[in-house]
Amino acid sequence: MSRHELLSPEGLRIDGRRWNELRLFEARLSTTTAADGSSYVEWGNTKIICTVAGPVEPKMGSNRSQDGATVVVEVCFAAFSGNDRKKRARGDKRVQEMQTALQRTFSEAILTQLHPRSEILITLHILSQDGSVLAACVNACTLALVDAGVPMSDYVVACTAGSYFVRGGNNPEDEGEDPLLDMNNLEEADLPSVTVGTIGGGEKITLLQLETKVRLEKLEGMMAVALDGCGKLRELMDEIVRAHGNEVVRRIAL
Amino acid sequence: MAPSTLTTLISPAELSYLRSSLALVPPIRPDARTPTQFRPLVAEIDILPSTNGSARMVWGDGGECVVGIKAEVEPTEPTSYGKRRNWVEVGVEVQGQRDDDPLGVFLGMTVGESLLTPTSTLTERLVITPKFHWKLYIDILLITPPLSHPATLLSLSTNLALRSTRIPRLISESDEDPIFDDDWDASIPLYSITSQLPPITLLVVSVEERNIFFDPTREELSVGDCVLAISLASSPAHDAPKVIGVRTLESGTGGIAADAKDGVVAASIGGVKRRVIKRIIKESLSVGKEVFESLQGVVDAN
Repeated sequence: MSRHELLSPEGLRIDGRRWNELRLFEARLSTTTAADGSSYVEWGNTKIICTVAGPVEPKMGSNRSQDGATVVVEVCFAAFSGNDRKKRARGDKRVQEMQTALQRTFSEAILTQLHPRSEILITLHILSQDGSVLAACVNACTLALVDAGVPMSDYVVACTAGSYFVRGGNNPEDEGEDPLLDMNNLEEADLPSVTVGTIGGGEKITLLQLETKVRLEKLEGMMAVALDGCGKLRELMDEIVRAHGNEVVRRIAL
Repeated sequence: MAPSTLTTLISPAELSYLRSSLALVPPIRPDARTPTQFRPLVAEIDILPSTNGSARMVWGDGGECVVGIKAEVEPTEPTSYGKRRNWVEVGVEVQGQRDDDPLGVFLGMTVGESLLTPTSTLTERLVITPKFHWKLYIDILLITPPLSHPATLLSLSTNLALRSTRIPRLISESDEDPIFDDDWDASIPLYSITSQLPPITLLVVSVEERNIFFDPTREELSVGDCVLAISLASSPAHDAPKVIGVRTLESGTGGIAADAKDGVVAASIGGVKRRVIKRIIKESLSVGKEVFESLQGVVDAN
């Protein structure tokens, strides 16, 4: 696919969105009964199951810390999640990088000092990948941690933004870069994109990952768009959590 | 048998109590089920857009698994029928276990075994042209570590996933390299409604020759005399299914030696009579028919 087709002259992207629109974000809480907390996130065609165990006694002594709980994140890409079947080994570099990024992000957001000498184990199963996988993982973790009742300072919300180069044709003044919110797989493959994670959907950034080269001046615009998306997502996630809470309370009352 | 699925944390006294209540006529199961009753389960199919077929199943004890099936075109080597074993690859990933964990390999083998029996007709369906065939990758994610033996859970969800599997329609002639229709709506289901359905495997445990139980819990498995995994294939007309395979699994240590006094749990002398096995197979045919009907219900509801 050539880069031109990613954004039509009318300003529509390949999946019909405008530059500042998110894909459909749907999530459910408490999907897995055997876990302390769990969530299922569907973001466009990216689908993720997240389970949380803990705070529990650490299996390994090295995860026991007097200062606070240790957060351990495990990411599993299902072999059928991509376009071609591909089995990823546990030691895969990209998977390990994601695990470390998530581990650091959530060690900051969780009030770990309340559970010393214990471990919080987060497992992510990526069932289907269609762009913004890391961001979807962050959102799924947040919802599962809320479901598990792990104390956090606020929602951790992540979103991606990309930058699309517009060719001016005969008129050089039309040339420029347009930021795009919430990248899907095809856009991610061709355009530079940044993943931004925030605590509380405001200006407090806890995760920033830029995979490709981009001109420094463009970064601010991309981040501003991504932050905007994080704010919207926080509202969505808050609605989902409150609806789930009401449902739980209603069931207890019956 | 991978031992980790059968380790129980209940005491000899509890085992003895459980065994004697299961040996009563009529038997009393700890969760008040009848001998042929299954635990409640939730199932859905066709959930993942990037696969040829997929299913998710949640078992009553919290066991959850997701199955995704992908098909790839592969050239057929002109060899014997036996090579067709490689046309289907089953992989099981258990959460929290290493990649080379024996449990996953063992479970994958159990599922693959029943699919590849010559009577299951799966490999015949994968033939595209004399020179090419589909290679089927069945990947199973076991999201919660098994509380009871997951063989039935995996087999039922694989069955559902196979039934939701669609393969692209061939538009080239049979002597050319295969070319397929791009239109997903024109794709062909691997198993049509009127054909023989993929096989299922049921776990059955017998206690004291008198009673046999379907869908046993881990505790029930550990006090059984004999645990059988019975693979059944259904016929399209929904009459009685056919047994295509029987595999014995290791039962627990709860068997009571014939000469033991007062129901004290001792090491079992092992072995069951032939008539017990005959009865198990006979009963699994009628239960199997019901299971196939309920699976049909899941497919119809989609």
